[in-house]
Amino acid sequence: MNTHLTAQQRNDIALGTADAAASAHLAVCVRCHAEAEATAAALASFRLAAVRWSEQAAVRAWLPQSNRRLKVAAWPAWALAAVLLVGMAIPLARRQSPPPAAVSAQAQLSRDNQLLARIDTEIGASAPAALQPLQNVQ
Amino acid sequence: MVQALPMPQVNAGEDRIAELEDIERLFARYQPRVLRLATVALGDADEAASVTQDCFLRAHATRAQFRGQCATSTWLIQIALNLIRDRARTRRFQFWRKVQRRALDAEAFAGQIASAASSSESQLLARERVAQVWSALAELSPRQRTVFVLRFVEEMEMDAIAAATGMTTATVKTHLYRALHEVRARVGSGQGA
Repeated sequence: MNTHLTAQQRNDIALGTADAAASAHLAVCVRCHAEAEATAAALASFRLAAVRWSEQAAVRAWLPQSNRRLKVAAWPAWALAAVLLVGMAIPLARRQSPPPAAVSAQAQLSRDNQLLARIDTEIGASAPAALQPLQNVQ
Repeated sequence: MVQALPMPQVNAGEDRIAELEDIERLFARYQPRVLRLATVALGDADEAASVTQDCFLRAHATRAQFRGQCATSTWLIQIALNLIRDRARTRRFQFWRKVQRRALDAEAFAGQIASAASSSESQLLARERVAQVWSALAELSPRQRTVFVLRFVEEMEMDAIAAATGMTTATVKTHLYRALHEVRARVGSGQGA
């Protein structure tokens, strides 16, 4: 009667810790041999897949780091572009808003107009402002 | 008679400590290893990427505590295992783990086999085997998956796994038996189909 390997013996074969009796049986039993081969092949395939996957994933994980490095390395170009933009923007902004001198001239003109308007009012009145109370007496 | 000059003594401990100083080099060298451990243990690519990053940051931050008493990879694995344990405990992770685990990365893992196998038939068979192992791992606890990865992906000896995980060798063996039982059940059922 041909008894096959026990579960523990099969585990030991997969772990490489099988005793001599189990190894001897494996050499003559087609069924146990095929089972052990299939398990070993599955474990080897899984190992290969896991190693390849992790190496690819590791490369992907490095890519953002590389991109960061490129960005860091390109900072002088960014700085130059920023300076140029600011340099172009300042004259434009100045063109749109009146210069401080123009602002003060406009304010002076407004004040002058108000003064002239007051003078016109006083000239047009029948009596000087200081004498107006006397007009009421009349 | 001229005596041969003594060979320079290579101090492995000092070399290991020096290795931790250059975090970029450390990351480039060990990242895939930590990443695949975390991915299989957690079954979540995003969490695994986060754990991997934290692992190297913590390693660099606590490098003064490392005395070179073990291999750098072992020390990194110990840090990663602590982080994996912390993540696996969180309620949020427990919830999402169940939702995402089966769909996640099974295809991505199996897809890596495509260029490795020679014929389309053997590619298909290899992909199927990878999927079977992945589905077997889905039935295991994070701790069992961790031990499985360390043995069958990282090819560490059981004593080394015990040292890295803080388990006894007997416990490591028990976890491996459980994992192999699941793998054999699926590979066996795949053969019969």
